[in-house]
Amino acid sequence: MREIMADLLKEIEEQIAGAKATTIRQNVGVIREVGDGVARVEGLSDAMLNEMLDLGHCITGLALNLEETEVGAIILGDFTQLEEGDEVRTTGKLLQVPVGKGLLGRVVNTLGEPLDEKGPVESDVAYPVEKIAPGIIRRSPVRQPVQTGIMAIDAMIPIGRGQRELIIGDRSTGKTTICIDTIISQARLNRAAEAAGDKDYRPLYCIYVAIGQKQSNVARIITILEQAGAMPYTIIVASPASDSATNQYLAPFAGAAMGEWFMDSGMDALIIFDDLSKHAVAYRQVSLVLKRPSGREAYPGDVFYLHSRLLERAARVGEKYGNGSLTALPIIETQAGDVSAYIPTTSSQSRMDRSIWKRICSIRASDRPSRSAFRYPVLVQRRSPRR
Amino acid sequence: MKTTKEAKREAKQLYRLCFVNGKLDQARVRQVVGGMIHSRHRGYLTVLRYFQQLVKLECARHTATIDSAVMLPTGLQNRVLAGLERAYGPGIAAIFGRNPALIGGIRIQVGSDVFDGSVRSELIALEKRFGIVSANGRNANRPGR
Repeated sequence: MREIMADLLKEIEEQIAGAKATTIRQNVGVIREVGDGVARVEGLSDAMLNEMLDLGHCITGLALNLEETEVGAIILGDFTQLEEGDEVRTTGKLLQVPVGKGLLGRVVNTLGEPLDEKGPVESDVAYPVEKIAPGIIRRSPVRQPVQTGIMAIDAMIPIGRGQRELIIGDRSTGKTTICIDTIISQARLNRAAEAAGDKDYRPLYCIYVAIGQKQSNVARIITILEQAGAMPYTIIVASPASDSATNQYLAPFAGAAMGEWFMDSGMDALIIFDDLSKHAVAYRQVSLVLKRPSGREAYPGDVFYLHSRLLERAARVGEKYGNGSLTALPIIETQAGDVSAYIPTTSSQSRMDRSIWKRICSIRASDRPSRSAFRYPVLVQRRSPRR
Repeated sequence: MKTTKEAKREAKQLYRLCFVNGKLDQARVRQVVGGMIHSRHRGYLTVLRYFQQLVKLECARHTATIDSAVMLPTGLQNRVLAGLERAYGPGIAAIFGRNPALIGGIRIQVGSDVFDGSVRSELIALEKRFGIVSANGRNANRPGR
């Protein structure tokens, strides 16, 4: 017994002798101004663009404006706890969200935290929220269709896996309905293929990003998807109207990161951004509070770059890179059918019109083919609808 | 008071004029401030405020604040200063202070760089590793708390 104790004491002694005092090197700054979800921080000379900042009180910030004397950061959390003079630290990490199949069937917020009271999200992989879209070499042509389940669309204006297709129209014209129907249709196809044991079938997983919507609307959509049994193949990223503008601004990027994981893992995913008009408004708010120069309709100059870099992340990658794909269905809401307004002026659109919707509601689509511009009409279409 | 682009540009020009051989010259800084106050041209206060901010940051970049739980002996102070001059170049002004909240070890801040080897920081790191949030949720390392 004595020998064992002596050995133990010796071991502890050796460990103490070998232990070194560690010095942590940090880059710190001090909050000079805080409000409206934005903090201006003095110092932080080593801060990177889009780097996560530790604001204390378990609150994270994101460095967006790097200026000569200060850093403008958006706050991801309850900014009312922060005070002028609080210390801020750089973390050396870019903003990341959990990704993977563990998120399927879950409702999460912008940071990938669960909102559905189903326990923590099972994921050990994280992807950066901001990522450069796949380049030309990695991409391959869009050839496989996404079956929306709406005959009018699948026959006349088919969507390919890896494509991005804007759905644009006034309020209450059925933009979200098309997307929800597509998610349900995909879930049915996935289930049928699973039941039939079809190994060649590539399931399409769906990500629905709700930006600036009413909580009741999001709850309704979740109920519809649950009733249709589509949730096991779907991730919902919710950033409702009550969420801060910073969270609304980041939500589509977080959703895109989740979709990219499927693409990088050789799987197919579909992402729906509902809607980008509200996203642009959230970005405008963040930019104005950050005192960035504003342009037309007070939107910052890079509002087009904001959406183009988001939608460019939708791609079909070549076989050498896993043959995965990410299809994007962004939604834009117009005012009184004005498609030439500032934000709606984007290419490749499927236009929604109320009168058309009423007339052809039997086929559940209000697309006006004559006014739509499409990139892959025949290439992705299956033989049967073409005939 | 809103700092306009013009005010910032003017303050930066004045700030650049205050450098002699790559170092901020105190006499020139005083001359600039005196001249601006004397001239009282339009928006001179905004320019001076931004100028003050730039000078403050430059001073912070060349000032080391060294805190320890007990006052360091002179020999150790000289060694710390020599080490800092090796890392940041000569001309570092050192301010040695006593902060019992650190419990032990030393905390050095030069500009926005912090080298924290205090017992307090180790405890905070340990706290974070265990996922414990302090009762008041405050940052214990913040000076003056």
